[in-house]
Amino acid sequence: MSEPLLSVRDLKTQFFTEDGTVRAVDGISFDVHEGEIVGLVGESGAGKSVATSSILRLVDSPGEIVGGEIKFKGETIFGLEEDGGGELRPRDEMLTEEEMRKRIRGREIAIIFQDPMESLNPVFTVGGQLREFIEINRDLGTDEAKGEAIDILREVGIPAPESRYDEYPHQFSGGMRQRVLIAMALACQPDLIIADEPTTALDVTVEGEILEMVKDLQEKYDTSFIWVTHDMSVVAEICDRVNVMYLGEIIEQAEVDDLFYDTKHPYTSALLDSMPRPDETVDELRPIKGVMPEAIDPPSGCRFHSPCPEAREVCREVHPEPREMSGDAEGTHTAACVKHDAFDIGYDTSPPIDTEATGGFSAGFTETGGEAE
Amino acid sequence: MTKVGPPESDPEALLQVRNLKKHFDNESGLLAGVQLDDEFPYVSRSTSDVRAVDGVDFDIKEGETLGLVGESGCGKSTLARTVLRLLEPTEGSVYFQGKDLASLSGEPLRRMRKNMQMIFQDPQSSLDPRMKVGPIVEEPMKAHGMLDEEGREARAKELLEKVGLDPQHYNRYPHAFSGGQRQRVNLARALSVNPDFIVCDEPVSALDVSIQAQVLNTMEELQEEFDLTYLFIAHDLSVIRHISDRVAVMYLGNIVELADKEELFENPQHPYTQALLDAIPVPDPRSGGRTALLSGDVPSPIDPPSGCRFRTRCPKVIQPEEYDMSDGAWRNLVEFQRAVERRAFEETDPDVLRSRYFQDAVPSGDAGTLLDEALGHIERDKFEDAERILVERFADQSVCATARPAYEIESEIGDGRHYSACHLRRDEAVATAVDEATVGGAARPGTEAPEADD
Ligand SMILES: Nc1ncnc2c1ncn2[C@@H]1O[C@H](COP(=O)(O)OP(=O)(O)O)[C@@H](O)[C@H]1O
Ligand code: SF4
Ligand code: SF4
Ligand SMILES: [Mg+2]
Repeated sequence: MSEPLLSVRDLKTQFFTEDGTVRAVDGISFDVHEGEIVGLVGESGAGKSVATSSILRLVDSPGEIVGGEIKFKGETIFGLEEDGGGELRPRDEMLTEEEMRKRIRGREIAIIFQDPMESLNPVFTVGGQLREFIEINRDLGTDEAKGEAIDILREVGIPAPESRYDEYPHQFSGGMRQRVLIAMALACQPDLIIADEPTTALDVTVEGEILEMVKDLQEKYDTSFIWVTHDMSVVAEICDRVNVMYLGEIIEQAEVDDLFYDTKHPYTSALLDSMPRPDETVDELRPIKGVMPEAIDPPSGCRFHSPCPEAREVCREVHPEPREMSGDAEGTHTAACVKHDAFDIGYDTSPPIDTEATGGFSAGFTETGGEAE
Repeated sequence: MTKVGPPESDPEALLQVRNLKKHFDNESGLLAGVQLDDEFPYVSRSTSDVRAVDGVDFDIKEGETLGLVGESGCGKSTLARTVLRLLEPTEGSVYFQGKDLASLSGEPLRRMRKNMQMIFQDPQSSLDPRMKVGPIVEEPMKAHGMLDEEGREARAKELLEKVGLDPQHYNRYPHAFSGGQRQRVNLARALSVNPDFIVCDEPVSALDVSIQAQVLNTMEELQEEFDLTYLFIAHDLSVIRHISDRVAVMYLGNIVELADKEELFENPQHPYTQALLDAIPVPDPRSGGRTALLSGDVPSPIDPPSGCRFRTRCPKVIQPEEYDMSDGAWRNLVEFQRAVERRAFEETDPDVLRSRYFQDAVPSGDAGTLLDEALGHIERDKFEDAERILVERFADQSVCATARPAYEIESEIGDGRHYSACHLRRDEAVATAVDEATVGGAARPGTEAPEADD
């Protein structure tokens, strides 16, 4: 495979709070290649949003990227090195804040959030905001930028774009606002668009239209995407490759078909099994037992051992790093679960542990309470 | 005097809703709270009503779960609140256990209310953050003078356990619980006064899928144990398919289809239901994705389309009788008309437009002449004139625009009744209540409206 467009290695982002250090992203690695839609999937609190804001270096205090490396088109977005005294400091080639702001964010890497109202100013017209954005970022004159803005609005399927141009964000439906944001993201023809649950708040009909549109645009412009979602159906529909996150870690990584048809990690299986299906009546849902623990004090060993139906003693002791499952060196399917031969640490002979998964009706309940949202 | 039952009263029905309407005037309704002053001149005032719920009929049988599904903004929550009389209906009636709720007041109404509880979507904001979980669960019992203090505490603890929480957490505050756990607290509170009927408004929509499944399972177990009847609202068809016995599909203030669950999912007979089903993503990368998608946005409930409300987006809208186009030509014409309305293109050259929209089939005869006229307007950049011809001479002439559909058809799966508000069903209907004089969209079905339910 060619050089990846974006490569993330052992990224760690933490929040230093009164209650302790939240290990929101705890050593994740993944690549995005040119023209690829890469999924980042997991339940709320898994660390998906922190991961994406880290890529843009938009993590606010009390949060901080504490380790790892992020490379984009050969440039270093984030990287540390040891100084003479053993302390870590940013590498010289790491992009400055100004370079990030002027060159990377919005221009080369665009981001789309779940709530479009966060990104649109309610007191200015939609067209005006888009035009200004284009003017600033593409050095076009006002009239030219306006023409471009209307074209882009039409391209993302806004009806009657000339007259809609002068309307305010609240006059647009949720789906149309999200289209406008996609229009804005596309306006600078970035190489990478990060979409953080952009269709989660929308109806399936609208979501379907938007995903269709994204697929078309992606083909036309060959833009790469990181698509953040908790919805396996969306993953199935749009992604080429998928990273499944649980409690700050990527626990499985595969091409989309392999993820669904050759699932390697019990958490991924559990996620798939817990969904009601639209295309068949499922009599009994098999929920994942318990809730995801806190990222402040993650469980020992495999972080999923407590709800895992296949957990054994060794899972409590050994913390599995993702390993290649297919046996070939290309690394197309990795999973962090010791039950696989790739680990060979005595899973087969280890006794099963009594987990929440074998518990009764009231297992829905955590001692710690509180769920990251 | 308490009126007993609607005319076609069904002894099995716990709840009967007849021609229920809830209109908001614009100021107290959707836009209430929006600032209107010179600095923010972009909110246009209008005096016309928002027809949030506009003539809805259905029954719910004792012990069943009726699923209510539809896109956001279609009126589901307003319907739920109006059924419970948390909102005063504009018109129509709700009979609960045979009694007309409108005829009740004072103590009898209070007693009736105790039997009807509600659970909301957002488990976060529906729990008072300053109250501990125990007292939250006890609150409705207190309001209805149930048990003494000790009895209430014992019952609250018992209920916490029933909904899958630790009774020890009686003294915890809501913030110490996860979203799924908070929704369980809501369940315990609703159950505390021993209701027969619970309206659940998107109770699992805000929860992660894995947590959704836990809560849905618990709700089913509780239904069994306490003989509960649910009106279960969701926009997620997968959830609806899992939990419901029968399903009602709502669009723009109307119920467009109602049938037993299997019948509705396997044999949908309304283009909107079909479109919704086609739009659901399947968690399977080999499924080939969603099929035909709906285009366009839901129209405003202030001035909804006449006749069938779905006609502005319906892929199957019926050709007006006065023309004799091939089906292909008619479909092309509809697509072209919608593209003109949306100003989806800038092209004005008639030949280019013809080859873009009418490649495989062109209307001939009268329809062809009108199309030529419309294309002529576009060539002169007069999009409004073209739009007027296409809308007035075609779209508005369809039976879909001139009559509001209401048909009952035979079920293919099971023997439940099947209601479909679509004129495509007119030939196979076993009962109809089509009102021809409905232009304007305001009229309701005739008095012999078929009951899609029993
Ligand atoms: N500003 C913050 N302060 C403290 N903890 C945070 C902050 N933002 C996120 N976190 C924590 O980081 C973890 C991952 O959160 P997030 O990336 O938002 O998850 P996701 O996007 O997968 O739902 C959670 O435990 C969350 O509570
Ligand atoms: S390592 Fe053990 S606990 Fe973790 S997912 Fe695999 S089997 Fe389950
Ligand atoms: S009545 Fe006409 S517009 Fe309405 S759903 Fe049926 S075919 Fe479509
Ligand atoms: Mg997030």
